[in-house]
Amino acid sequence: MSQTPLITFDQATLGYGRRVVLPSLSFGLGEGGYLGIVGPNGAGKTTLLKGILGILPPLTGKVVHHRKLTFGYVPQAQTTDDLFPVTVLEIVLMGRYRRVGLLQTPGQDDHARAQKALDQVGIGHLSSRLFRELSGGQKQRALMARALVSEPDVLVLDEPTSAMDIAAESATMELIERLHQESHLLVVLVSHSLNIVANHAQTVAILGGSRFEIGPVEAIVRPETLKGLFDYDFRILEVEGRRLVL
Amino acid sequence: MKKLLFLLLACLALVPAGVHAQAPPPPPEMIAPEPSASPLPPNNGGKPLSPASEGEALPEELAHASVAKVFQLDFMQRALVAGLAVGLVGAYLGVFVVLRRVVFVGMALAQFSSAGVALGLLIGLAPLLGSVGMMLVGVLLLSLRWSPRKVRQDTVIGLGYVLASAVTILLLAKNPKGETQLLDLLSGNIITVTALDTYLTLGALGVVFVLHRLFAKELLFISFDPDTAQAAGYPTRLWEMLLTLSIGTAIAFSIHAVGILLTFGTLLIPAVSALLLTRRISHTFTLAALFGAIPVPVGLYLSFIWDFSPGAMIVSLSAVLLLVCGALSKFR
Repeated sequence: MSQTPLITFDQATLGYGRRVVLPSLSFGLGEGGYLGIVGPNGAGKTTLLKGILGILPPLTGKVVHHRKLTFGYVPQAQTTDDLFPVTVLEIVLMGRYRRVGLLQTPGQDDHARAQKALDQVGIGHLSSRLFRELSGGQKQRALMARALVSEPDVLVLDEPTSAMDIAAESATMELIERLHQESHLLVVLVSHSLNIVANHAQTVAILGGSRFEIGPVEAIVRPETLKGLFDYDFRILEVEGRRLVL
Repeated sequence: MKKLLFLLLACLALVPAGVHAQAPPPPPEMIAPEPSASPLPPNNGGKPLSPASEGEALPEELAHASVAKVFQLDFMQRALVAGLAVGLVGAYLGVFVVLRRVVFVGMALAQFSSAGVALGLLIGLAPLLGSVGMMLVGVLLLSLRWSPRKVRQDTVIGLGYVLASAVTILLLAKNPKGETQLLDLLSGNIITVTALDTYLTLGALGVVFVLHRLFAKELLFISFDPDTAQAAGYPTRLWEMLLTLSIGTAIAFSIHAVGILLTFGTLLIPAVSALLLTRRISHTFTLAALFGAIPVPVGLYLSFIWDFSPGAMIVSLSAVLLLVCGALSKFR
């Protein structure tokens, strides 16, 4: 099924000042797609994410948003500040602020939508709890609810399973999968784990050193492609329908 | 929050009672109330009747003056109004300062404002203009985006603070009354605040407060999670600059009215006290404003009857309140 294009990178070079981080990127992202971005720390994942979000203009080339897009951004839960005494509901309502507009306060409808989003991610009963008192997995769900309540075209998740145990990681990835299927969103997932991306995304972008490769999972997650990218002999096993990159 | 606004308006309503003069008022000895209404003696042997005169023992009558009589004095009414405005708004802004962990930004801006006052005193410019001008320089300097890999933002803030401190000292060194004025600047003298300065402080702090109420949700969002706010389309650098500018404006006017010590004490201590006790951000702002206001009348009264520096007394009372809040928080 062809996807309605939402974002196109056309020979876009991303970087800061005179420092080029990712040279000459060309690819497109469409409605209902699922892009996984993998790479070690410092490889340029955040830079690419900023380019997709449109908050880092390209040094050269173009990044085109084919229409006005609403991004639901889910940061890493541990980057939020626990000093703030804010409740889960207050956090989720932040996702409505752009739609509510300046000089207005969220109304009953916004509260209802926020509660519904919390129910959708399975933590509706925690709405009045302080955000800082939640576990890592619960925080991540609250942040996802905030992203969803903004009624996004694109759901962007930055390392959503970092610092989680294996059970929370699986539950979180299943939730993202479900949201992707239910809402037909374009999902952009950043992860340091190739195993996570290989089993959930449709398209994979791999960053490493000065290398950048993007394509369908089946084309990228192959021993010969990964060898070319990382200069390492990977083994890829299929266990009960799931890929395991070793 | 409506109650807070009401308190501010009440402050404004108080002004006409205590502030009549259009020009800066006469010295304290000239503004004592009518003998019949005053706790002060009608003739004090030519000595100043105000407790502002440092190093002199207070008349026996003053040490036992009632609260009502103390606050019938014009200069005490002005001090109360200015102090309450600084206490309420400064403490409210202080919640952002503490939560955003930019306490040192507050100190640096306070120091820039002081340098501006020193500059004004030296070249004959109105100190308030110098204070606001240098505060703006400070906001711009601290908002500049330096190379984050080479110079971290906290280093820039530290550099700004040191630079502003050095400039203040240099400017005051060339001023014949520099030492006295530096001491005045540091400890402040809230009871000598003029009518004009009271009006200006109320106006500036009122504008800052209204701006913060109008854009409360945006300022909270960009403070709590700037990355997500930016992804949602907020120009976060602009909002952060607005926040810093509003805090800087409040600092500049407050310093001019009540001195550095009380300004910075108000910006810091009540917010910490409120954060110790509250579990809702809206409650934090309200309680911080109240904790900023409560020590003002008490501190003014005690400093009057005990002949202490009012700024230091108010800050000390805030600290006592903080200790009480700390103790109470252990039981929550």
